[in-house]
Amino acid sequence: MIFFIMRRLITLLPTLIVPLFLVFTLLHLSPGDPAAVMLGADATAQQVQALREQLGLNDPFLVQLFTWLGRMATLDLGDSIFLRMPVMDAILQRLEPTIMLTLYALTIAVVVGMVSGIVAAVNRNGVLDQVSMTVAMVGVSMPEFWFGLMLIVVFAVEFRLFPVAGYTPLDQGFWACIWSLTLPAVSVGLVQAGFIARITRSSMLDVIGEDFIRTARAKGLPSRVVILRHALKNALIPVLTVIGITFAVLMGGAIAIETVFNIPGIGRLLVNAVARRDYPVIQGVVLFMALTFIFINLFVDILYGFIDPRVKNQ
Amino acid sequence: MSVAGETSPPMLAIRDLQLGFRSHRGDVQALAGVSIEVGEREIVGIVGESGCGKSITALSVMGLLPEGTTRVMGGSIEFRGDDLLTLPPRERRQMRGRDIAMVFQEPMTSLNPIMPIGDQIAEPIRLHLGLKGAAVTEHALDVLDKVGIPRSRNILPDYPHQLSGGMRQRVMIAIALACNPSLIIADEPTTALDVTIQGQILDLMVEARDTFGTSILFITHDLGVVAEICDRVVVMYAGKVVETGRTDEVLSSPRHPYTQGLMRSLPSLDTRQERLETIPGSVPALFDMPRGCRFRPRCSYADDGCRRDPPVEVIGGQKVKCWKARQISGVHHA
Repeated sequence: MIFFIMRRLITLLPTLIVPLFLVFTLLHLSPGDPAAVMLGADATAQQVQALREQLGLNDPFLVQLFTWLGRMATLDLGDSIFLRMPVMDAILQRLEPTIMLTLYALTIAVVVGMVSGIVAAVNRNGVLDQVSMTVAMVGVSMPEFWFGLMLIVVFAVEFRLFPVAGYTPLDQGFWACIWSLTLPAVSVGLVQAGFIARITRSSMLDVIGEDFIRTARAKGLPSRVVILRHALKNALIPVLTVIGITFAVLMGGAIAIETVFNIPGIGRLLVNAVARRDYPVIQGVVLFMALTFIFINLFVDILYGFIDPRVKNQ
Repeated sequence: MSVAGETSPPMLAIRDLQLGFRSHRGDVQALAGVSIEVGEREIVGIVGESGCGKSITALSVMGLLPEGTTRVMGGSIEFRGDDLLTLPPRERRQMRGRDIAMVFQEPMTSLNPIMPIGDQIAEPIRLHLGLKGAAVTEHALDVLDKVGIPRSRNILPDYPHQLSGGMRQRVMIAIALACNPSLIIADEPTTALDVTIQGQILDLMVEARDTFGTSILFITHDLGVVAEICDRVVVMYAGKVVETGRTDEVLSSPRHPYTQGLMRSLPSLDTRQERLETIPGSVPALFDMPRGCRFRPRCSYADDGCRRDPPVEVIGGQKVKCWKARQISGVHHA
């Protein structure tokens, strides 16, 4: 197992370099002069030139790239142009709402998605199967922000059960925080649950057709044991892959949902930074997303190894 | 060797079993009145081509027919006097693995790939024998020892992919033997194995019968395997039993034209043949069964009389479902 994890970590290195390079290059190539933007419309050409010099924007591309990579290696993401603070601090500040929303939504998505996927597979072509797959299809096709708005109309405006928008930080109490995130988490979670339900169902159906399920039945095991102990664990790998992707995508900030519910998360930070051409922040956030993605996938890979002993020997 | 089915009541008696498949072309009959008996300590072989209904027969005894698509339309399956088909599902399930166990064809795919061997053997032991903790492990090691995997080679923590094909099939047999069932149904347990391993597995099955008195219903398409281990043989064709009898009798003087055809299509080591003989034509489709004798279109003896359902002729110890049985008796394979 140790070797398996080590191997995964080593193969990770190139995967880390690529997003770093892409983030830098794309921003370098995109139009607009950050120095001019920083100084505003009244700045003279000399002032802009001076700032460019100061920011190192006049250096050759490769020099800029390596200076930047060097700073990244020490986790120095630079300073935000507009927020007047280090990019790292800006991200850390926005991390809590995003992490809370992600975990909450993911829990809803996994529980609802897997349970309905399993129920659908076990009752293949039955009423429960058709109902849950129809609902999942609707969920998958529904835009999250629209679903969020509908939830606000019904549960916040009409019944006044939840706040219309906003985020209560953790330090004001766990349940207060959870309560403030319920509507956004439900709207993101249920939509993602649709994906998870569909993949769970099809993966379970594949496994239920396998010979070893027949062996399990031939032992006289009750259906519940056959399904949960033998079928589900074997069906888990594709499901886990989708859960991992969902997790990573949510960590990158549910941009639309954060906007609809006015949650100060990573997604909002990115949108605002793009609007202001705040290059260091954009780079920092995109990099943060890429790293989250990579590490969540690494984690999922390691989980595969725990679930399926054959993975380790490949 | 016990000649069962005559003195003591049979362990298993399938009587006139009729089974339907639901297909997009309507319901079709997969088994058209199959009767098979297996006595105490007896090894009975079912032979026939793919699609003749031998596996479906086995699965219907186990109660593992695919739900929704298969339906029992008549007949009974008596196991030690009880009709399995009228038993409540719960009781039926509890008999599986405890009274009737099954060994499947593909040991690789029939074992759970991500569960250690030990846990897979332990499952029926815990479930049916009510053992717990160390006693389960002890029993599992005992059973593995009986199937020729010595205790010193503790494979309990291993996964199926870490074992050879032969070892995997031994594990399957160990799982089947774990609760000392009265009947084991083996569905082509040697087909997926190397020839050298096949012999070992067959020996193991005979040994299981000799030591534990287990009856075995052995499904195969290989007459060589039948000759080696079966006391009696049942030949099936297109959902019907066409000939039964003691193995030595049926193989030395097959009475049904289909059995004769099967014998003739066996490769022989004595004479060099350019091409193997085959039975002309192919197995009729389920939705397109010929009337009367189902082998009629492929049979060289057939005439118009064969359009009626053939009677069961008893010749010596053999039962043959054929109009021409007496006429062609004694005709031997070339």
